[in-house]
Amino acid sequence: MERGTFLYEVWVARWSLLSGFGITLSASVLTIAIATLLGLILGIGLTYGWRPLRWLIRIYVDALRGIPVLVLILFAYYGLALFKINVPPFWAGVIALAAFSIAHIAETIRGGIESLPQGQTEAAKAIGLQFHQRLAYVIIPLATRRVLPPWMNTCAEIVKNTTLLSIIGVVEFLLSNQQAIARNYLVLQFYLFAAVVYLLINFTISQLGAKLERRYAHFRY
Amino acid sequence: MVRRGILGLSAAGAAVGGLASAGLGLLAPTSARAQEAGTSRLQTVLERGHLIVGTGSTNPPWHFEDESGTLVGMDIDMARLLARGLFDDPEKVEFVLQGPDARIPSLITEKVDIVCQFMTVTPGRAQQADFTVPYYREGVGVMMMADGDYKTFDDLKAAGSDLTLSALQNVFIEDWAHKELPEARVDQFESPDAALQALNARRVDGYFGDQSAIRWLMQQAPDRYIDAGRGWMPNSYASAVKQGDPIWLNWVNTVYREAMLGVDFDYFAASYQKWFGITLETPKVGFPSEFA
Amino acid sequence: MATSKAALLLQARGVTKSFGDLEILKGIDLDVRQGQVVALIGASGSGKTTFLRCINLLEEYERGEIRLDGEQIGYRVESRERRRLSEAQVSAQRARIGMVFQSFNLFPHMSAEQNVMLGLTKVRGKPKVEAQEIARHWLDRVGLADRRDHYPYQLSGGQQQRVAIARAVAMEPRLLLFDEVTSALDPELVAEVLAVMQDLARSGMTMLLVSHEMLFVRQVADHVVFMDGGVVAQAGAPAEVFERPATPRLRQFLGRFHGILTGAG
Repeated sequence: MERGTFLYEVWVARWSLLSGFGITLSASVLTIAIATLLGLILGIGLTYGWRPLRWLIRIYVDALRGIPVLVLILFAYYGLALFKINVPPFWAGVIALAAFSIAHIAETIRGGIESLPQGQTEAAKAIGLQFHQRLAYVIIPLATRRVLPPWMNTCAEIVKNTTLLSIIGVVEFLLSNQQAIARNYLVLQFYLFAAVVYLLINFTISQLGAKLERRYAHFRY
Repeated sequence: MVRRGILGLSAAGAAVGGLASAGLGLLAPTSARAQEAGTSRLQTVLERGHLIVGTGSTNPPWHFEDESGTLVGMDIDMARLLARGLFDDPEKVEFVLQGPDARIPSLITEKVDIVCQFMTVTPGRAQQADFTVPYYREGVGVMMMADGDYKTFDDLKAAGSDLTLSALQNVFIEDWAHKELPEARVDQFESPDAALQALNARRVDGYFGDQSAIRWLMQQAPDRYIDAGRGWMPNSYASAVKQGDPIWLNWVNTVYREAMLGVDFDYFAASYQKWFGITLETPKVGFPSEFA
Repeated sequence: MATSKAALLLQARGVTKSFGDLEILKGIDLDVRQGQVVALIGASGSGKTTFLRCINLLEEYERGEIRLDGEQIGYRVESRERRRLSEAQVSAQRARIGMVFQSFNLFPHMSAEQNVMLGLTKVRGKPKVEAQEIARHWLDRVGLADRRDHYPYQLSGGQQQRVAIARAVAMEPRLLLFDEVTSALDPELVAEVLAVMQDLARSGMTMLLVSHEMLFVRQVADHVVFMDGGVVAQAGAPAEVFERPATPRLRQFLGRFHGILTGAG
């Protein structure tokens, strides 16, 4: 390989690129896990909570969906520091991304639950299942199928949004590419490379989603 | 040491590291916060045992990663000089990577002790942070192919409207070029790479950009390009610290000034040679010329 | 057939219920004795389904009381104030009352067998093997032994409703409620469901049903209650209600089924 060619430069930057890839992946996975778990809880609260609680969650969901993610990231890193809360940049980024995505997932979950036929809940009540059992055995499994496509969209958005962590110095995959570009000026090649890698990540997610959808294909009503 | 977003993840050996090391990030990194009100940052830094510096990683020759993944550049040399002055060890510095927009916020929120990140001194910024003495004067200039038609700045001037320059896209870029070359045509490009390619392909007569970038490019490919030898639109690069800490500011200023004119001149001159290809003249012995 | 000497199982007194300004139930009194089959008949909007749903608290009733085995459903009275029972207590009461719905409401993500097993394992706390045995017994009883691994979408309406009956009865409820269970079925599928219900009635299951299948009601019910405008207008043995309607409203209501009833008579 000749010095200055794309492949040579990728080889030279391999550790940095792999590390960036690892950080993009871990930030995505952590954000998706946190946002899905808390989004599910808030979504259930939004559907079944007593009125003041529903109202509070509604304010959170609407507010967070209306704020650019970039602002949330800057706030989590710099804004919180003003209140003497120092969060490492990686975690500030994950918290901000999760806070944003929770709002989307909560709203998705609420929609999924409310679209279920009332008869399902009534049948579950009639055999004596308690609230948490109705959720666990009937409502969540059924809502899952409806929620899967929008949830996958949110996951893909999360992966793309991790690029914003570079502004607070998290060397995620895009920034690791930019660092290589700064050294070798192969702008087009490295950006194309980054685009292909992000595409592959999201392709993998959509494949996983499609697999899950097939598994739940018999949830018809 | 470089804090690459999450703590302790060095470029090498992090191949598998992404997921595993994310956990390490839970441990809060050392904060640059002063321990108590009234204490100078100088004291805080000395007690902490290392300096925390805000900088970037994508702008040669100021701050970028070399092929081994180590952060290098003029800004990095200045930071290491400070660490050497504090701890007698240029390695005792933690770099916090950040975008240019983050320079003042990270000072205000005390994420860093000092910013070394090609920061242009402006009156506006000076209201939000305290600048040190400058260590470089940036300006715009023109670079041509060594074997091209134009050899000097006078050649460019004489070419008038026949002259075409390539430049990185910027709202003001045409006005800046026209200050010295009023008739030149300026082709704007999306990336510095594309602007440079235009010159390499001889689609333009010159590359119009920052003097430091021009000098860096000339260093990278010796004998390929020539500098027109004229710089204009001056602006000074300095470090910045949080406002209101005269002891800390004065200490940094002392180190910088003595690097440019005193005990650390050799270190400073070596950096200038390395990053800009500029050979500095040894300060005259005798009366301190800066007061002349 | 149960006699009037059998123990009182369900006792409703003065049950009222409104939806906004609309008073649906205006004070319902009703007794169901152990082993009895009681049919609620009446025009749509007369409150039969609402009353049925109050019995297992799918609707909250406002005044009056409903008692199962002497225990008030859904509420306890504490220093003259009515308080709702906890979720766990309400669920335990519901588990003693089975319900079959008009629209079957089988869980679409579970096979026929899993539908029947869910309450047995999660509510009754039975081990899986035992629950499976019970489920298979009841699916066999409703004639669906060979369909136990089928999902609801693979079953006809009549088969789904039989699974739903198996799901309800497998819980060994004290009382089984049927809410117009054949109304959503194609005519040719009605008979298979009614046959299952008749079989259950013969085995001594206490049943309260809302139905428009007058022939079935006449043949199977021990006691018929005609509801009209949110009150019980007439109640008695089928022969009495069907042959000696006391009000013009009941006469008019039964007139619609005239052909069927006399044809069967």
